[in-house]
Amino acid sequence: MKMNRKFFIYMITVLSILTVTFGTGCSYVSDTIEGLITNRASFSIDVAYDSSSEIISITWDENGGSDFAGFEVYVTETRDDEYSGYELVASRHALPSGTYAGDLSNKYSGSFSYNVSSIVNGVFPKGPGTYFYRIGIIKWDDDEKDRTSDNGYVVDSNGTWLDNDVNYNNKTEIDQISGAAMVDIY
Amino acid sequence: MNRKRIIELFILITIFITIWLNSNIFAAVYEASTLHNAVSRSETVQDLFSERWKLIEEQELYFDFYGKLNWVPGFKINTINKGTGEKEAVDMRLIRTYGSVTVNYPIIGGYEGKTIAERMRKGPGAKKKSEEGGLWKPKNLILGFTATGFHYGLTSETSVDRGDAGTESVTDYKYTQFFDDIFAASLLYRPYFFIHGGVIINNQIEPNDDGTMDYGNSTNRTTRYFVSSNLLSFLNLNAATTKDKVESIAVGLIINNGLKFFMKPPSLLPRLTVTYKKLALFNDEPYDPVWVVKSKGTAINLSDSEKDSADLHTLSLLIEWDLLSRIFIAGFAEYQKPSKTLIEKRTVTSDTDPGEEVEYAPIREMRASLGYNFLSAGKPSRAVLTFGLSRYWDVAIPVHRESGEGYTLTGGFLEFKWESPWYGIELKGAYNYSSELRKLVETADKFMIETSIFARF
Repeated sequence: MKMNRKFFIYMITVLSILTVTFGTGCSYVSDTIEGLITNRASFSIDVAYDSSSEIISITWDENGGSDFAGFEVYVTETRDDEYSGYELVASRHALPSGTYAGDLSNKYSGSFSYNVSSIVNGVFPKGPGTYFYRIGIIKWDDDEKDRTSDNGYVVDSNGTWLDNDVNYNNKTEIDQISGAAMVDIY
Repeated sequence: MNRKRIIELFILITIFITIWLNSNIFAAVYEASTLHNAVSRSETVQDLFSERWKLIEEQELYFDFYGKLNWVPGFKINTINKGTGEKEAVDMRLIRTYGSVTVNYPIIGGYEGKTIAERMRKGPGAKKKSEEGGLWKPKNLILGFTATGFHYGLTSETSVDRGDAGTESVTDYKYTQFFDDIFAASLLYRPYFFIHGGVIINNQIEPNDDGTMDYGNSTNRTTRYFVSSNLLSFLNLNAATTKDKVESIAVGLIINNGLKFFMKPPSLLPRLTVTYKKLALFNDEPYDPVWVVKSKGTAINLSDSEKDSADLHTLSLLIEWDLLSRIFIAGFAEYQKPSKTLIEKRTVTSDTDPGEEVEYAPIREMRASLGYNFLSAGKPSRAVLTFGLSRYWDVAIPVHRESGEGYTLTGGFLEFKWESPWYGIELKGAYNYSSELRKLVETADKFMIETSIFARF
């Protein structure tokens, strides 16, 4: 077969770009793909506790990508346990009753603070101890043009999808997750 | 067998493997050995490179992409929980990811099909004609480039309760992550010879404390060089070196192709390959399960002048039998012998304890597999279900096995592969199968699941 020289050069160029873009080789590309599939922690955050005001402050630099729906804040559900599961602390939309700690209604916020002493029972964290926080970058399941009633979105009378609690809870997922930032609350 | 039945079969295998994995009970605590051994890891990535290129040659491909994800759950790790500051056993998952891309360009001649469109209609390999003019009339010169890489590492998984939005899982990097990459150029003057040459880059990266990782944060990066060649379609010669020494040499004979010089081999004769290898496998490193020549006590790190090294010599026979593209039979056996006395570290209890010499079994590996193609042999697509059994001997097995004693493990695998001429998928589950233990002996007594995709033309 006569293979087109331009085609070969094109393939080599694509390979070179992929190689340079993803580091040094295929091992990094395949790891990146696996990381996307399993929601690998991909960015770092800072968390601080001010014992005098009893305020937890979390900051991050990441921005949402395409189909960005908002940020969420999580904390370990068990104190003094790095490997505990995480519970939701704050979200763009209202949280289930009894676990509300604040909101992130400003979709593009890069920080979140709350007073741990003012939290009602059942809200995280649960008493003094060592806790771990994460930030989730949440994305819509579909491109904006595909957020239709046929795809399960609640829409208004004009057929336009609504950026509300119902759609948020049913039609979003974690796009990126931060690493676990440790803080001592006392 | 129609497509619907193939999909049903695929789903059944998926369910079977999922149940299999979830029913597993894990006990032992992880100790890294092969993972830290760059010589062994280099052999693994070279074997994968050769495996891929064998197919590229058989199918006469211009382009080949292959991606594989492999998960081994249930690594119990004794690790410090930063919440309490105390050690505890934590369940982690070993991930192995593999990617390979090859592009070939015909400088002279080319493969079947006058144009890409014609080749796309016929499919690679499926309509291949016999070599025009036989062995001594080469018809093409092909230049290729391959990038192949393997990543190994442990991760931990955590659940995240998003309230009314449901629960998702996330993962963190844990402990050292290993990245091994081959960049190779290839020249094929068929059927006279082919030669692949390139570099193997072994990289180790320590994750950050928060479970993230920066690819640029390398802690140990080494470069090796390798060459892999074939003369007259029957003599394979492979070697890998560092700047200072040759770490592995392999010489292989493809018997059937050798016979062509003297006679026409029977068409039903299975393909026979005999390979000799010499691997600089034992170097008195902290991760080695043995001391070389004599015990060095309970020391972990030695200076270079205190270290001894030994080779492992192996001789293997591979039998591959393709019966009318319907039944596929393969068998492999490998004899082994270390070049020097080896002392098992587990038996060394003090600096003055001489320890016990390892009695190396003559047979390192035996395996056999049987595959059946559910689609008719004349079709370009295949749906092959394969199972295999094996027995593997390794001096590090007692360190990693979860129950029982001894250096030998028996295992098996089940694999389903569907392929069209242009793309395909594979799903595989294995337990103590020798090919997997050979890649990573740390997977002893653990189930693994693997999925692969490939595209080619």
